[in-house]
Amino acid sequence: MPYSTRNTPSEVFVVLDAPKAPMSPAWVSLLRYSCRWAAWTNNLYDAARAVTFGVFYQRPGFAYPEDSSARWTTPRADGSYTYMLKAVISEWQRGQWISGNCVDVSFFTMLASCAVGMDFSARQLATTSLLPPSPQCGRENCPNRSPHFHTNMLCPIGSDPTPGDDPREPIPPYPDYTYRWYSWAWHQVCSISGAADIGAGIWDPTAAQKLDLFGSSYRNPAADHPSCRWIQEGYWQTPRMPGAILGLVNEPWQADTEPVVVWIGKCAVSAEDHTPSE
Amino acid sequence: MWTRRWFIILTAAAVVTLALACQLVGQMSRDELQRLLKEQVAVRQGELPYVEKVYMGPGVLANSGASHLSQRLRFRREGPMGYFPADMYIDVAVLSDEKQAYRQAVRFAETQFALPGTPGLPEGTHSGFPVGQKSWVYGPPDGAKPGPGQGTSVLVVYDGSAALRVDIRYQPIDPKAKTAVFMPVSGEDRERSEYVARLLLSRVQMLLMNWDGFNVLRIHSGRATLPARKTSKGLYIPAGSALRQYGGVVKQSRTGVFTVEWGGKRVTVPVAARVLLTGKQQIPLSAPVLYDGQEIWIEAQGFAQALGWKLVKQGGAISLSL
Repeated sequence: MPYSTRNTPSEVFVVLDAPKAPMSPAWVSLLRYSCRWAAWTNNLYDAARAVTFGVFYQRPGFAYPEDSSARWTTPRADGSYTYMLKAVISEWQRGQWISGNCVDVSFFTMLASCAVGMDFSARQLATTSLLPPSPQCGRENCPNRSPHFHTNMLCPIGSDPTPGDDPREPIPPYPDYTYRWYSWAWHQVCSISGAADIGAGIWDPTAAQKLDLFGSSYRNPAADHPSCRWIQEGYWQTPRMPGAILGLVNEPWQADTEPVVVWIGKCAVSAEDHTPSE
Repeated sequence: MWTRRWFIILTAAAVVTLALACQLVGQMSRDELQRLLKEQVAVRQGELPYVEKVYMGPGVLANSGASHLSQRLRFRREGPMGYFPADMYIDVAVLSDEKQAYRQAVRFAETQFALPGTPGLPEGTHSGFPVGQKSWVYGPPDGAKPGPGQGTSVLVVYDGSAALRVDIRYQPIDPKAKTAVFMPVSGEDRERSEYVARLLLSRVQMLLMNWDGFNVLRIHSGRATLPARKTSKGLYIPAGSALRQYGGVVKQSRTGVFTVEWGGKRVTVPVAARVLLTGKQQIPLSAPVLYDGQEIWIEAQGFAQALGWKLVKQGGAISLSL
């Protein structure tokens, strides 16, 4: 948490542990966010959940775009990524919303966690069990012309996941109009660095899940915590059956060996910003 | 005998020109190329009337090792609650070769719709007319309503050793709301982004082929003599000027696609494309259509073929005739 008094005007940030790469040394501009989000927490699970929720509920903050494209990072030829952290923070400080897909928001969550001493990485999850391109996938209005999976109902980052009222709907109870399903081919989330491919805890700020893995109302982004576990296999699909109602993947049915972890790592950070043209 | 000698001389001249151009690009350091991209390719303040403010960098290619240009053009849009800010983000990358440029373009076009390493956007452009060697596009479907996730459009283009992405990003209608609701990107803004993509890709091509360094030839067209450019990629002629000599008409659309009309023929000329269109027929060009802001430059052989004209080379003289 940030700490200062009238006699010590400099900012003091109380963190869980020494900052972790690539946020070592941590950026003050990022610490202001992560320490505010994780204030009064004193262990990894509480702090990591607070940071994940903090990224998700930041206003103005990220908004998931309909085109599902990354905006603040791009994979480089050597397989690494560079994240435009300065530009993202500057946009928020100017009161601007920014578009960001799972790569953008999970890397941001990773960086915010590393800044307060939690060694987090990003990981890309995929599956070999994919549906054929639309319309063969069988779901009406599916726009995806590539092999993909359908998610359960999710509320994307940038939207309000609390019980929704849609005044456009004529008959109550109004449906949760900020929840919808997506057709994705892969997804990027956060996990603790060094966690095995199987059994890793998942922190996913991209979207809120309506239900937890026991089927109870949850309405928050998945964030592994002893009080509500989000372990990779269960997070991916629970139970393992066609049209699963819990976890990320609704259909198709996922084999026990899924998801496949296709990439784990951290990003480099860019300190450049947009500047007015001469 | 004379024809053969001229053929040999012209071939040798073309090889020397090509070698000089390659040497120029090869010698150009990354910093030098980056500087030239800012000076000669970037959108300048005041160049586009609707743009309020032009910003430079950093772009997603910062620290990537590629020569790149990143810009953000700020303008305004009107929604149900008044004006809201909108931005056009531009990323231009110049890579070492065509293969690398294609890979970069695929990275620009990656989404969650398709597996990493493959383009996640459908092929095409906002206008439907080609640009570059390949392009991918996303825009809100017709009739899209305001909602979460709306408010973006993407156009990715690859041509030669250049890859380019132009995004439109709107701010939400009510920035203080718990749910960010965006207007769908308007057709006009998608057209604007395509125009910028064509213009900048054209400028990049001119920079990479050292446009100003090539010999200006004079070609005869009608009763006038026109300046033409002999480049490593072919002979370029100023199409608008040439057409006007014969009473033709040139019209420009908002997406940077020109329409040329002459003698009952109608040819579509998409800037930065390697093809001309006459109805459903496509006429491939050996080099992309270029636009310097005033004149469209088209590879002479393809242009003549599209209009049914003749490009005659006699000795050192080149003439364009009906």
